Amino acid sequence: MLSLRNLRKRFGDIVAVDTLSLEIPRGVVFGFLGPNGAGKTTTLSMAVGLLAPDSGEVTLEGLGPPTDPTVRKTIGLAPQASALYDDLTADENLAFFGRLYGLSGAALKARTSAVLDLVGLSDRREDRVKGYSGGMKRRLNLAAALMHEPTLLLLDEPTAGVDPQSRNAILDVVRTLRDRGCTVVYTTHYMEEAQRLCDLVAVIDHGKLLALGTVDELIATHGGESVVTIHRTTGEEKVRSATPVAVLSEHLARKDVLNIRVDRPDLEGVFLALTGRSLRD
Amino acid sequence: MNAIWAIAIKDIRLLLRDRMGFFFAFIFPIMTAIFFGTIFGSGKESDGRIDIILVDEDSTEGSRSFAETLRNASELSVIDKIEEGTKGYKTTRPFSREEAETSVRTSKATAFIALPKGFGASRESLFFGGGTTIVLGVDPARRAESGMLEGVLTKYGFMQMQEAFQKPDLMRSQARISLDRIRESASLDASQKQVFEKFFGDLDQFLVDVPRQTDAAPGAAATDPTNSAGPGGPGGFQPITIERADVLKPKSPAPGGNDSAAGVRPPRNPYAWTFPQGMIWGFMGCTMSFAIALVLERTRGTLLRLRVAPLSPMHVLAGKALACFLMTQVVAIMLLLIARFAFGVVPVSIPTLAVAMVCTGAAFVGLMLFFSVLSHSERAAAGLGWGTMLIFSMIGGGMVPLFLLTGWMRALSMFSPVRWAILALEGGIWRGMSPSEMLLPCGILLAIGIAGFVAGAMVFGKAEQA
Repeated sequence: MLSLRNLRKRFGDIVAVDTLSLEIPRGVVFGFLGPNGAGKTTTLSMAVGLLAPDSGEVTLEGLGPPTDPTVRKTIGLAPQASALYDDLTADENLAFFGRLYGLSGAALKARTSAVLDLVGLSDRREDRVKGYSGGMKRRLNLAAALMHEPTLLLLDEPTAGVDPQSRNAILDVVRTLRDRGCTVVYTTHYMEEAQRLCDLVAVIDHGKLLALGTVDELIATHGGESVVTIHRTTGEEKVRSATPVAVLSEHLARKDVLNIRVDRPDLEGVFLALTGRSLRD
Repeated sequence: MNAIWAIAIKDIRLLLRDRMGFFFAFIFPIMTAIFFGTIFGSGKESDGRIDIILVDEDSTEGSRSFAETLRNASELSVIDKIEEGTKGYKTTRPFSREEAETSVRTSKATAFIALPKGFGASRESLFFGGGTTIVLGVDPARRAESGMLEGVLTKYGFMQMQEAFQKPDLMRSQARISLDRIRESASLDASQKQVFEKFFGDLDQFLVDVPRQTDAAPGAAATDPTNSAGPGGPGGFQPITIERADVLKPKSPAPGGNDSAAGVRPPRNPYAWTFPQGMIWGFMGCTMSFAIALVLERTRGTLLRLRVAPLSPMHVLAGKALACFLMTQVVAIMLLLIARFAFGVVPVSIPTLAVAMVCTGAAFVGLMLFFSVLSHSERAAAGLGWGTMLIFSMIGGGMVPLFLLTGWMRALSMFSPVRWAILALEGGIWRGMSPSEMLLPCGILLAIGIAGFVAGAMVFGKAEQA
């Protein structure tokens, strides 16, 4: 669906993206992870044609570069900030963005209703956005990116700062879109969210690709061993093992065991293992 | 085109929902027009030198002498030659009366003074004949200076007469010319002629006996007869007759105009020249609202959506420009309707006014684009935009009428789009400017609009690719 080949972008002395190559297949949710300043936003900007790479190539489904208006019609973007007009209603916002993509008349109305329904805002469609909660704005932000039925959707931290209800609603919408064949590129700092949602995950740092694969593959490769914590009458014991079931079997037979907890490695562990624990600003 | 319309309609809707933007685009201009109209309705005076064009149609010793007196007048700045030719070879020649009228009508000079044929002869026959006539044409927008000019001309008329009295030989010669004409006159009967002959005989004797010391050191007070209540003062007798010329020539009804506009004369209604000022404030209000709106698109992230959409930067700018242009026209029309129905202002030419409004709108749209692409925050856009606009307005006659400004500020006003906009709008509202006279202000306004759009598009395109 989206092909990035040897992308490189430099801002002054800083290399934001360094010979990055990715192939994102159709119909998946692709998690694009990295610490602050890793080069995610620069990569996405080049992917949608907002930035021209210094070298390398971006193509969509063999259609051509994203600077081509025809190709752009297949791309939807929900920026990190709620890119909406606060003094317009939800209806007016969506109608405006739909018109930019050539929708009009009955088709525009139908599409507006459909996306409002999808994000659960039909009953607030006549309200101005400035009266919306943060979660409602996030959902409408996503809806605006869906007006023209894109086949490639880029979501930049779509759940940042929203309540659990809105987060779940957004994740449900993303799954629905994937099931309909849409390719979703998803950036987030919530690793648990990425682990639940993403079919494929790429981790980048300093503009370079560090790892790529399914969540299980990444955990298996970079997550390390499980930690089995055994609480006994005499105290607590932690055992690291690649085969936690065997450790469980061994300890369950003992009579002084009060409780056992198994902590499997997760995406956050993978992320920290790959990008380090030093703070990023 | 649909996308451009969509952007334009969205922006207009946003402006109408922004209370502050609405106030500056709609309410403030009305307040300005009414405020200044009320002030001018009560009259104001100028304290600067009045720039006039002098036309000597007589070219006699008498007219040349009076022209020289006016040139030396401290109250006046006199232009009497027009420049012709190319840059390398320029010549000058005297103004014709028609050229002088045109210059006043197009606001290039405050007034013109013409010394008509027979001026010199009438001054020679001081005591008998039709009197000395001067033609005075004043820009109707300069009402304050109009009365002042009449006073100045009367003053110098008296001064010349006084000089004549101080030269008894000249006075005796004028008395004799008058006496000869009385004797030849068929309109006087014998008894009347006898009375005049006795009077001029006595005058002749008086001038022979007049003390010569008056030639030596005339007192300061005596040189200014308007300050004197003594003999020679303005006690009912006027040394010159001032004939008022109408610089706004009657016109046949213009297509689309209304009949009552035909032949409409200098606006007695002060709102006729304050509503163009109000319109300018409306244009400025729209300009700044839309300039800030484009900056807001950038800071709030909506510009990102526009850029990801299948649109070029030119589409985005065109949409913004269209919205701003449409709103300027709406504001202008609204002000015109208020001026017409609430204050009785009737435009002399609707088509001319329409052209002026379009050109003014284009100029301000260009400025809007330029301000918006140079600024990266709302505060910067507001500061840059309003700061520049206020300077344009101050030097261009948007705040204070041009005639109240000092000479160098008036010269500086050539660089202000506000000056040309007001001139163009007045051209349609009451000046009755011809298409050729509208070319200069409208051409300048269109050039500003195009330059602003091109510069804005270039900066915007570069910034968006950075």
